Amino acid sequence: MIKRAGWPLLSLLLSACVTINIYFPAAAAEEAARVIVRDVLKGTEAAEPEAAPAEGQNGAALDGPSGALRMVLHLLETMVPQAHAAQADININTPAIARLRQSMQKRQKALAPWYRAGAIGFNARGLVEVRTLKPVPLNQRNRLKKLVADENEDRNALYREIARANGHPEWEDEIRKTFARIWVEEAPKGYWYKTDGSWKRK
Amino acid sequence: MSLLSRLGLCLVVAVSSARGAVLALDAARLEGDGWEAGPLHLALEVEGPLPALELKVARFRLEPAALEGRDLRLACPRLELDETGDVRCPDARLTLAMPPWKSVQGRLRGAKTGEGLTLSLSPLSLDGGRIEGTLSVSGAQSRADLRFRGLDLAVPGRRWFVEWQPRGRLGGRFAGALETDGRWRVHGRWTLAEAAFSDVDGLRVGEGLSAVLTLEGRGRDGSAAGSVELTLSDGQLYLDPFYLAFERPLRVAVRGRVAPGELRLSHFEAAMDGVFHAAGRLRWHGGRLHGLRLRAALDDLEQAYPSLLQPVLIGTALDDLEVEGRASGTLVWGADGPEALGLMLDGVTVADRGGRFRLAGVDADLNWAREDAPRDSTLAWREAGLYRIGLGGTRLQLQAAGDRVTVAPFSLDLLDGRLEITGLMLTGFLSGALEAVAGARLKGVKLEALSRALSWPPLQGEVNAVLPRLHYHEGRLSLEGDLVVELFGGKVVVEGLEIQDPLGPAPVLETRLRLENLDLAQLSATFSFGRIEGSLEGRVRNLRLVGWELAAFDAELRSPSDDPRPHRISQRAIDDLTELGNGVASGLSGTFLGVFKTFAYDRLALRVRLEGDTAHLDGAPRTGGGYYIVKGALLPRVDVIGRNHRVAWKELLSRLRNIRVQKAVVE
Repeated sequence: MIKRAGWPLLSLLLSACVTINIYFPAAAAEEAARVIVRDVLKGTEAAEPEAAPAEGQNGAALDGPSGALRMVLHLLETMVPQAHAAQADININTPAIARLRQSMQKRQKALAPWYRAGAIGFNARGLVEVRTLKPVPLNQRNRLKKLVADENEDRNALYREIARANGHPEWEDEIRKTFARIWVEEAPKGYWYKTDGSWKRK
Repeated sequence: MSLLSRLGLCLVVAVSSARGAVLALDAARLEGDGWEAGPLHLALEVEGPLPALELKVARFRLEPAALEGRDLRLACPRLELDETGDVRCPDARLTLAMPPWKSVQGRLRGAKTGEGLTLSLSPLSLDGGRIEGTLSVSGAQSRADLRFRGLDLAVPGRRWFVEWQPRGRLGGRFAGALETDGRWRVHGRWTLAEAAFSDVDGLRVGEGLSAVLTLEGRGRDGSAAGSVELTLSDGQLYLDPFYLAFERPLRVAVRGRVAPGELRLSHFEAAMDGVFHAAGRLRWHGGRLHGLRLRAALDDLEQAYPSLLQPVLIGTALDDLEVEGRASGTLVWGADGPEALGLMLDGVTVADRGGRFRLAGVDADLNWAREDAPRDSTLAWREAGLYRIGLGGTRLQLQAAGDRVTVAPFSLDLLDGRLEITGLMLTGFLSGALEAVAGARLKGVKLEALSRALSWPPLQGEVNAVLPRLHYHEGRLSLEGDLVVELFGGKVVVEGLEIQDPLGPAPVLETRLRLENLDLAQLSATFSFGRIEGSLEGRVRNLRLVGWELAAFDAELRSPSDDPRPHRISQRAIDDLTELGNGVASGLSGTFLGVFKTFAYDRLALRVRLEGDTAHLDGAPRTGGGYYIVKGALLPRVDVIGRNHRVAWKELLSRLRNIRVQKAVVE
């Protein structure tokens, strides 16, 4: 009986000793978050990462195919991400992330006056939260609430996609925490943020 | 009479002196039940034909109203006394300061007769506003009949309603009577102009309001019954989360009774012409709703959606809609929560402004009950759409009760074919964790229609599938069963399809594909990619689209080992590959190989794995470096050989440029 149980037990013991550590690349995540947050808060046009091959090229330039093939290539071009010469530990160059960044940048113009007015601010979950509706004209309050809801949908999707794009969906929470800190660090003076349940002005 | 009696009884210090024709009474302090005053000086001058009375009070306090006043001066130049003991003052003047009012002044008429005490204000000015009317005490009854004009609400607001900060001008009429046994009745009609208010958090705010309020009530011992009608005709109101701009008047009417711990409204009604109308009755007891019956009609959903519906839908997929049509409904709420709900839709069109979904021509008679047997409902629409895919109309028969909705089998047009849904059941309405399961069958869904809808190159083929279980829970839609797409003479089998957050900003689609026996001749003809004969098979694993854009996949495509189809590739296809590669196309056709229209090949193979922004490439093994994408056969032989194994995905197009004719030899 003991003999029969021996191998499974030994296997169990051996497997119990295996430890797999996957460390969250905090510095790279912070760098990536800062790039995105600066882009969004400045409300500038999305900076398209420069296209560069990962390896050397040895082919001649292509003027371009014709007909339906060109259409297919065009479709591919619109569907695929721009390449980046330097491969960071945290990849933020995917079509989904680019689209979310663009969406957030576009919305920033509408949100910025309300950040400055103190109506909204950043919370500890890396989201935007209504601080007070007092400065907001009555007929614009629900518009602002929708902007905040849409912004948070994009932010939640952004954190999820960065984690997924880097092959570690379980990093989502760490990425969210990193962004939550960077939003506040990069916020202009006068913006509000929530910490330990209370609002503070930067 | 009782007041004067109490005054006399409570007189603590009375110092009187007669000095010529003036009788004076000075008191350091007088107090009674709920009031106190002092120092006080009362002088009666009896020299003229009629005596004159003057009362001066330095300070006084009225406890019930928490009012404190000072510098009260009441002068009655002609005090009429008769032998019956009646006293009249036909023309008195009153001035005082009584915060929050800085100045209260005006004319009075007073009479104390055997029938009682009467005080007429004609008029009294309060910081610019005016009050006139009559206060009287007669027998067992005290009465008031007052008219107001231009009273500034901000003044009392600063004192008694600080947290609401009211502003505006109040006018109107108030009449009331109080019996000594505690019974009372009131009625009045007030008008408000340019009124505004705001609570401390700014979540309940009115601005620029014009309102008319009529009130009728009666009561005793803490209980009251009556009715209130309110018409708001200008301005705007924000009652979080609802916003109303009164471009049309809003009328609210309430009738009922209130007692300690209980409110019963036998009838309430709210209406905005052409927008909505709601009426019902309710009972509030012990701090919570015990019963509610509500009938509501939204006559114009286009008008009602932004103010009444969208505010409660913010953050959902329904918060940015274009809506038309009419809706009406009933709600029954019991002591334990909602008991029954009915909803009628008439000619409703709903379209997401983001283009994600639309329903047109919706008619519905939906009924739900919490506990009773399921109630029959119908839901029909003329046409629908999901993203760019059009769906036909249908009519659903469904039953709803408790936490569950079951839908009878139904079908609808989909891309020139049919979609049949069976066993659709939705649960989790009350808990908020919505879950749906169903079976589905796709019949003859045409890829040509799909490619037309998505502006793809025209594809031929159709989709037929039996999906035993569609499941939606916590934002994730999953298909159990294989979706078989008959395409290019073979089939593409879609396995394990899941869509997360399908209506969110970045839906995530994950699936696997199995390609079987695709006819390359048909495929290459579709894409005008020269002509390739042969078959193609393979797998696409870990296919992931985010926001409907390609994010990851691992594709392995190859010629089947026992391919019965001939393997030929046209010079045009080689040219296209070459043109993609390095512009050698003309070079090939310019050589003696140009006389060959097609070439034989042994096998095609290509593996592309996309991770992040990098594509990993491979093909059939080749000694001497690189890998075959097209391995030639027979003579003349043409091989297409890939060299790079890792390339930026965006550069895959450049990588295609690198595909070049490595070998074109006649052996």
